[in-house]
Amino acid sequence: MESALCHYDKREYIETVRVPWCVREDTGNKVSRKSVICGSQNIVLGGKTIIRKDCIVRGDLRRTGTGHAVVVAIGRYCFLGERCVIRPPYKTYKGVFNYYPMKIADHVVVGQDSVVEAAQIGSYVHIGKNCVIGRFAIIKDCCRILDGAVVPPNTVVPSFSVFGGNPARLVDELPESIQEVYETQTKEFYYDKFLAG
Amino acid sequence: MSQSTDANVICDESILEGNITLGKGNIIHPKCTIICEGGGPIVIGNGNVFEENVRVVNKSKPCLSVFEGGKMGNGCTIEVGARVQDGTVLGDNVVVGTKCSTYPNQVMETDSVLFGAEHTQRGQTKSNRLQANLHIRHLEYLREVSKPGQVLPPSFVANACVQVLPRYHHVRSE
Repeated sequence: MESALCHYDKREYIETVRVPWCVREDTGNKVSRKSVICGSQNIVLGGKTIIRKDCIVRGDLRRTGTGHAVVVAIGRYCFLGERCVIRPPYKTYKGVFNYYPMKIADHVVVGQDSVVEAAQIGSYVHIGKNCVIGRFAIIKDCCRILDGAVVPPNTVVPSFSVFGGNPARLVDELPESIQEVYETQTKEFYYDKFLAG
Repeated sequence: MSQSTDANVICDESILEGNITLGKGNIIHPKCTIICEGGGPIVIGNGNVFEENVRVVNKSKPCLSVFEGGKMGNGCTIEVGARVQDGTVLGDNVVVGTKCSTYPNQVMETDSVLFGAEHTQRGQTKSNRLQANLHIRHLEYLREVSKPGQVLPPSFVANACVQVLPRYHHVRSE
């Protein structure tokens, strides 16, 4: 995540705004027009989420079956860096090929050029640049994935851990205060550092 | 399966330039780039999947007559952000992993997998049928199997054979 100020062109970004008669909180998302959002009816943004340019979010790879399906659920104060790819994981289960939904919780940062095919990402997670998160990986709360790490498929990254390398291994642990640190970082970035103009 | 299994599914947001020969039933996801800059042809077989941000580049100039052209077999999967470089020849059922890159003029044998940071290459160890089966089902899933507007019978939905890419994307007609 960039710690420096980041200015963006207001015309490039679509911002979801609160409508007066609606009390829902899922507003303030900033989505670049230069990003590729496929199957937007299957994507839920929790609010205050920023999607940078050339980012690809695949909501079209949905689980088959009838009815409405949420494919990619992203929580609040999330940040998807430039050129990153968010695509749901696939597998055959009992002989049926399917894509499975992906959940991303709150205060999650995904760095530039990263590819995320995880099943689940908890809150307060920082994923660095150029990472690959394999299919059906589960990242618990308060984790850090170092730049260039390749998390193999089906890995479970426990809470408060730092993973790095190729293939990614546990390299360090995080203190309990990391939750507040990451929370203030993402909020600070959204309000004070990601500025129009 | 209907006759449309032979058709290539090419999303409109992908970039294909130059002398490219596509076989049957290939699937090209959005934001995938296949560029033939030098003039040497790119030959692609049947039933391959190219995911997002894939780059297939052939920069060779016509003067390099030894060069036969980037050739690609059947049933390959090129995962997200992978690069297949100049003159690479891929056999059948090759998987190029996420963000991996081939060497220029590399020849990848049939049923091999490219993965890891150091271009590690290995054969498919598990029974090959598993991967092949997964691949066939993946193709079925992504491909259009019914005409637009046609109501799918319930058994079709249960078999995971609904049109996915054609429903959500503008698909190029050849």
